Amino acid sequence: MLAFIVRRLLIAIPVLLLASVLTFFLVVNSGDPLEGLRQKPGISQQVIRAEEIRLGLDKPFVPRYLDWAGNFFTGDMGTDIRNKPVWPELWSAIKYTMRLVLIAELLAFSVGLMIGIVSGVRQYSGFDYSATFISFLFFSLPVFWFANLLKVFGAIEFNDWLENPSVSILFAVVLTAFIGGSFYLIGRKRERLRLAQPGARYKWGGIALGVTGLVMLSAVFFFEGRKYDRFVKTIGSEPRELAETFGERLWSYVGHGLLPVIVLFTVSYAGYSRFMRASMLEQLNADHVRTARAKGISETRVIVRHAFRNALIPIATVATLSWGALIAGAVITERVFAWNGMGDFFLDSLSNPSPDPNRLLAFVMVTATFTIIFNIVADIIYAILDPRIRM
Amino acid sequence: MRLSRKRAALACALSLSLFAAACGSDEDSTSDTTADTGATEETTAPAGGEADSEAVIVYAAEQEYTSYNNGAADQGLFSNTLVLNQLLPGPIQYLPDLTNKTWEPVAKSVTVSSEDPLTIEYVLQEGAVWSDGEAIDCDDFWLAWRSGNGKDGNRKDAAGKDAVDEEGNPLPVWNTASTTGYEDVESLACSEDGKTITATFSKTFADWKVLFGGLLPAHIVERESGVADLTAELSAEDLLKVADFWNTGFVGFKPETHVSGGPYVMTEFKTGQSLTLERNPKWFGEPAKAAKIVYQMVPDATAQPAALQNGEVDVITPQPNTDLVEQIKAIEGVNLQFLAGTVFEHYDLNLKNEHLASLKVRQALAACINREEIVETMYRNVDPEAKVLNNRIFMPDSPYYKDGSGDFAAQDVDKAKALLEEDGYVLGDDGIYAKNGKKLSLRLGRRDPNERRQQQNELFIEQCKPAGIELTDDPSEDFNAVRLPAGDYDIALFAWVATPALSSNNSIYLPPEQGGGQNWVNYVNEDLVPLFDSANTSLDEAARADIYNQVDQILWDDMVTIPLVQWTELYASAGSVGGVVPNSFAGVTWNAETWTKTAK
Repeated sequence: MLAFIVRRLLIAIPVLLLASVLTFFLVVNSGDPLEGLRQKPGISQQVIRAEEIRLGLDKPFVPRYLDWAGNFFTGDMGTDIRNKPVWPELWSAIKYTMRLVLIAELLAFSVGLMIGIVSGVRQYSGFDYSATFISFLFFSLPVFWFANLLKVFGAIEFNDWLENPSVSILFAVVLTAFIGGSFYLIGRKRERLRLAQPGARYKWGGIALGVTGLVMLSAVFFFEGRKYDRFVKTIGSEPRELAETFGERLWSYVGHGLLPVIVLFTVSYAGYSRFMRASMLEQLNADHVRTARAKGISETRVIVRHAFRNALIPIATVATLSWGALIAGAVITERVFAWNGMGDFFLDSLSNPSPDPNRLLAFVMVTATFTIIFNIVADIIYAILDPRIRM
Repeated sequence: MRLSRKRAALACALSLSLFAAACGSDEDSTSDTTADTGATEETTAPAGGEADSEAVIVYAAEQEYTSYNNGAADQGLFSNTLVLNQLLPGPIQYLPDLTNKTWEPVAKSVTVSSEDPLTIEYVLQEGAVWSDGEAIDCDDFWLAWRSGNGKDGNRKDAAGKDAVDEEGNPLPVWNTASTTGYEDVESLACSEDGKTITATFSKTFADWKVLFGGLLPAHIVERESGVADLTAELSAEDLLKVADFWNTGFVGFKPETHVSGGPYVMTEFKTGQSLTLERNPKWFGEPAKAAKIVYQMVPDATAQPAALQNGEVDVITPQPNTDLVEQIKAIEGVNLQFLAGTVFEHYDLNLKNEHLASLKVRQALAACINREEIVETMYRNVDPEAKVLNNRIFMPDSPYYKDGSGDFAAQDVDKAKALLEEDGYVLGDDGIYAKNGKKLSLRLGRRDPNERRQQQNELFIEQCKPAGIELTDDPSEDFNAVRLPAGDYDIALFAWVATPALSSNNSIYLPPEQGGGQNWVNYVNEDLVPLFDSANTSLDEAARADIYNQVDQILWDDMVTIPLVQWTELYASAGSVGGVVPNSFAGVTWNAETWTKTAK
């Protein structure tokens, strides 16, 4: 295991070097970093010259690359075109992106996996059809549009409501009746299919009616006369001022993260659940599962041990690669919610007002490193999941 | 051109023009952005209710603050200006209409004590101090002068010769963006107490008011570099210590070095997130009304209206387009103002082109363009009061604005044709004029991508078709950076910034050999030289404005540029916030110390 990791890490070095040469070539040819400066009125040639020397623009490709690489691989990422060190900003971008991506992806991964398994096991059931419908709906949502819709309803309207919350009795009654009725209908259908005991419709409908009714009734009284702050935020990755207590602090972080997490979650969830469903189906129809069933192994054990575990192998590839890619930032989501992460960092470096070589290089190298690391992780996971693979 | 307080604005203007995205330009260059005219609604209505002295007012910043030292070549940015307006003192303050006044809390008086040689006497308020208690005095003027006048020359190597790079070019000691103005100051004398500063000029610099704006704290530079007195004769080594700190030491934010001489003091800077200014307890003028001003980063202009509506920000100034304006108008109680800003679009006609070398052809273009239609289609959908610009030097809200367009105020296709025929052009079978077998076909250069400019060009192309002139859109990504300075175009569409430093126009319209560094079209009119000379030495504002209007008239007669329209700027503030007054040149935060916010 250790030897494997070391070997893979050693291979990563030439890969990174190659990537750095390639990126360097692209960055060098991506435009003039001093464009903004050159257009400044009354700027003297001396000043431009001094800036060219500071950024190494006066050197030919090879010595310029060697200079940069020498500094970079000894831990100095250099300064940007505004003479600010690159690393502190990049580091803060990494942290913010990690916070957003980790939460959204973990949620999407676990929910997607569960829904995918059930969809696979109960193929062509009502559940499968609705899950498929929802997945495709989420899959095809334009992120920008969805984010703005969320801002209107999830933030502005919801906050307006929070400022003076009230639940009308009419709404409570209608919602209770709707939920109760739905469970009654599901129960009836299952009775007909002989999946449930006769009379289940009354039991299910009744419980649903009772629970919803109780919740709604307490909501009607609970919100009466209460007032809350506008807590869902549409911009910024963290609160400006930290509250006193841990609870309040957590709450304000949630307020900032809620909408972007929802957006990223819906996008990733759809992918995971579809992959998992397909992978489960493949395993469930495989010979070894039929053999297991023929041997009389319990259905739970067949699904968990024989199908699920094998179904995870392709998912491991998808998940680790997409995690690696997500470190590069969710550009649109970050932009729309003014989330100061990697995507935003990259956009800024590209045109602020001109391409910023040291920032771009640092960004690409860091994301490349993450991708390589996640690839190694994927390989390790294969080995754990599949005993035939030896490290 | 140069500006003091807002030097970066110009750079922005050029790059912005292309939506380079510096200076808070809108990222997606889509849609009919800007247009504008005079301020349509006068100032903000006072908010109902009591102003809250503990209020926190949040401004949505599209671009990040980077440095205290806006005068350093690599650090000047308009986003810095927006912050420094409230932090760095200066004797003169610029008002929204580009007129100016003494900034009373800082300066008791600013007087011209002699006109020949020009001598200015600045008397500072006794109580004016930096937020660490140190007096604001002559040393701070010295730092501005010393860093800006170029007299400290270039860096030396060990042998005492100019240090040079591989190509033999010298490197300056101070990495200052421009030496204009300061280089003309012969000497700077301090009174005993340091509160009276006398600047004597070697050559009259009529725009002297733009000097010494945004002073940096000299005592910090002295302390950090370990040099006792930067007004003294310095050894080469000490000089480099001082200059090196000035060149790099003011980047970012450190509480111990970033002291304030304004109504607020910077207390927190979270990269990429927000920047906080708090009331400066040592401020010697009237205390700021709101306890804190926060610059919250919202790089995406389209995210700003929602943030305003959700109460997360109080003041926004995004680049307007119709969608954005509709969204903002829908917000309850919002205070929306438009301003015709100081950035203006214009077409430059390149005299190096064989057709455009002829005055009649240039006049024909000015006759066939329908500027009114361009403004109507592209700009009035945002600001219904946008108007055509008819002066290259003064904007319509200036008291000196004069419409010099004369016969070319409106479109006249027949006149365009007549002018071309007078010039020997013959209408070809394809409906296009030609002379000596050369078709009158011109390219309209612009930066790409920029949808607004593309549409402007398309309109121009259509308008001149009936006059037998063939125009084609000629976009390229490096247009402003490379082709414009190289004069590689027939007709160029870009923007300039009108500034209070009128002498900044010299470099655009003077012949290239006589200081016309930005005269890329090879425009030479010897009549302009004496005019600019007398304007540069004229200390009477009205007389000087007269001269510049004569200059503009000559520019109309020679028709080397066609002014089009000013960019519309949008200023929106929440209903609870009062006192927001648009100011194109200094930025919306110019009077942030008087902004108020009512308690909830």
